[in-house]
Amino acid sequence: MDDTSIICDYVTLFIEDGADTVGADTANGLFVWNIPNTAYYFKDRGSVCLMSIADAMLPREVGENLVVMTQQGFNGMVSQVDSAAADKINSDLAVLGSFTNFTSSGLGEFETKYKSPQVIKLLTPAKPRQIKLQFFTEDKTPLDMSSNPLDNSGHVTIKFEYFNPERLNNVIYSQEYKPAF
Amino acid sequence: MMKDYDPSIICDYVTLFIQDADNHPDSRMTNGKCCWNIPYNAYYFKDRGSVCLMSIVDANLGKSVAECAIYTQKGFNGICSDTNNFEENIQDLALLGSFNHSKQDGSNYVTDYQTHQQIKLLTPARPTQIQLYFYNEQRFTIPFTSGGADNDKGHVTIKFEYVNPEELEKNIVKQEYGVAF
Repeated sequence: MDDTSIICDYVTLFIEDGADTVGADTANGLFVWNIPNTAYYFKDRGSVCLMSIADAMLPREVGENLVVMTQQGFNGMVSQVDSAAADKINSDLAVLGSFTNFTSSGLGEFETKYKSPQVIKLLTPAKPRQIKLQFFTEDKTPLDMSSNPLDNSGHVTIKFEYFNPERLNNVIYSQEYKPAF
Repeated sequence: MMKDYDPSIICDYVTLFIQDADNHPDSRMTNGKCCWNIPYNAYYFKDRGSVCLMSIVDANLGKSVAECAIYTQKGFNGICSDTNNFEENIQDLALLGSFNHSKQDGSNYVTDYQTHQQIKLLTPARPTQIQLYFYNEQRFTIPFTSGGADNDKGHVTIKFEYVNPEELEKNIVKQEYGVAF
């Protein structure tokens, strides 16, 4: 049995379209897109779904590894219990994915790339009317994307997967402790 | 037959930034050991089973970090053949994943294994602390240095999948020796 929907929704967000929406803060890597209701093929699916990035592209001029985060994930978090105060970011942010930049460091080094990535699927309210994504560098600094016009090219395609609530219930219940006696 | 098992649909994702380990008293950054305390609210469901599958879904390191492999002590079903030779006599290390490092060395750039698979280690569920060990291919520790050097940048996102005890039990029984007569 497939655990999630065969027909998913795919919403493509162009970076420059998210730069001027109310709430966007490109100097801190925050982009906001309002999503029309027509973006979702079925209107009567469940109230929650799994959100992941199906495709994404940023210009090479970004120049370093990046992390894409969202505030909309229930089951993801950044653990920063012992972080220095200056290093803390909003506690409701969760990583959706990352980019590895292939650029010479000047020392002949180009990239260090993890070999076996998997897709991160965050539980999120279904059919969101607004999507916010925030880009960070690898030292948790919000990426300033306000100054270089090239930084506002690119896209992110979000995939929404829906699941059968009964199947989900079965799976979740089955993970619970069983009585020993 | 058990499929490539992603049983819980809703998994937990915990993102660990390298620099956040710097303040942890058990971290030894210059010896490639990073520790993070994990808050209880990192786990979406609190009442799932006592064990789960742990894997790395996403990770990035600075390009100046050479070939690097990540190990943990929490894996019940992973082992290194020669752990005692690791520095500091660390026991029971299991590999979680590794990175390709692209670097120009004459006309050589990278040697890339082509058919990676996910490593999913059985581990206690909802750990309150995660310790990761970073070693290069010669089993020397990766020294992360604080203060903004390129090699203390990066993140690792851990995925926790929960296992249906009944399905697991069936799967394990199936692997046992059958009676010959």
